[in-house]
Amino acid sequence: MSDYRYLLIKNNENALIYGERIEWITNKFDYKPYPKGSVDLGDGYAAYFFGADHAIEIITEKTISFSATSAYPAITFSYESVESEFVSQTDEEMLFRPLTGYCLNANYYSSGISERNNDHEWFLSNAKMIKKIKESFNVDLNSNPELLHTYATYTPSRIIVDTSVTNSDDLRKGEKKSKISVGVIDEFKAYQSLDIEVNFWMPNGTRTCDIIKISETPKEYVLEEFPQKFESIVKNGDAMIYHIKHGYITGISVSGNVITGTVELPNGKTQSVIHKSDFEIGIA
Amino acid sequence: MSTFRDLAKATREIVAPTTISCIPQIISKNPFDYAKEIIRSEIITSRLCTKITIIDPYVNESDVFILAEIYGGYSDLHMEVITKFETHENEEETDKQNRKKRVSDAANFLCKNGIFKKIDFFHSTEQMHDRYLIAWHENDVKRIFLIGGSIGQKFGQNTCIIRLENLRMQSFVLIYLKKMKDNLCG
Repeated sequence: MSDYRYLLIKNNENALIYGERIEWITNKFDYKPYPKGSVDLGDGYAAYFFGADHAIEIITEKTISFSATSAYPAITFSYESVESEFVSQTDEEMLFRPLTGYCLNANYYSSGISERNNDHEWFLSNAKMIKKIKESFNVDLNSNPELLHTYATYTPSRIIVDTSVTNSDDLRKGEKKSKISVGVIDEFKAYQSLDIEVNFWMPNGTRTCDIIKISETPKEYVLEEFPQKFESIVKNGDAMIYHIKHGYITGISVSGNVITGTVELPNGKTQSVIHKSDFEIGIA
Repeated sequence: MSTFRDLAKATREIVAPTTISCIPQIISKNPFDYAKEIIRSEIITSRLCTKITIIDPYVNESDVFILAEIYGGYSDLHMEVITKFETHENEEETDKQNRKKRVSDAANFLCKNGIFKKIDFFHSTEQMHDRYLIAWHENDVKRIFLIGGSIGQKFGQNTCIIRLENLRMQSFVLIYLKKMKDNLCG
């Protein structure tokens, strides 16, 4: 069964300035019912979050509308274009992911496309509200300004590829060969018949590639050295379902600034005296 | 605009704070505090640089303490200030020398108290107007900013900070710096 989870942010004219709908197949760990509520953002702006057991918006050729309920007023949105995008979990991905652990298929309904340059002033004069939206809903309009004047529908791929290094103790002792296990969590067993492409990108630029059935995971790989990046891809026909590409953290450099004292300046101001404290953890 | 990704890229270029270039007074009611925070985070607390060069024609004793507020706190940071000697018309020679001494005393106070490693002042006779901030790591230039006003203006009067990313313009600023250092006095 699916939940349709909504976040709607409207202005003082009850027009949508940002909205999202996530289609979420529920499992036994999910809140039931999905919590609902609202946040007053000031100056007539407000945010509403709620769940529904079906898609409640009415989408016509150029408008999207939500009928009034006891929880929120009637909200409308006029859009100029609609685009579909696959949102991956690669290092290069630039689009906002409302669910950080999942790849998504998204539809973006956008308005005011030719006037986006004028949004700068709106962002500057609504800094407090933007901060409140980020704190309340983890939607950072400053970093993702394209979301303003956008209604997005997201369908997450309920699949997670899990990798783990199985010989990390040996690596710490100087072993060069690395053993990495690749497993797939196919939450609703919906993708068992599909293939997963597994790529290990090595430090010398070469790629070790394998294609296996999702149902055959987990599988352990023995590599001559530690890979620089891991990538996995799942497609259903031509449609991308899952794409992750990331590096591995083998060591962490910690740079600390420790205030060791304060100096009173002759102009009445103070300045801290800062001592640097740096150290490294892990394999350099 | 062909895709939503194109729209995202174009919008972020204007709105998203991917650079510290801005007019602080338009963003904040306290432009000095705002400018101080973004400059410190970009080049000081991030440990980007080991030396900072300030080019500003007008630097007096109180400006040295403003520099300490913005850039100070690390006793291994070297400050270099390029300024004019002939800052005031009809200034007597003794007044000039007194002004230089007060600036030098202020710098000594800061270094003695661990706010900077050292502060070098270069008084140039080269014609000077625009203000620049150059952040170095050893001999490598890491950042160059054009600052729209003098240190003493404390980013008021809608003074801008512009990061110069164009290599040709960066080269011009370094040539200008060399010219000033080649023509010292006092």
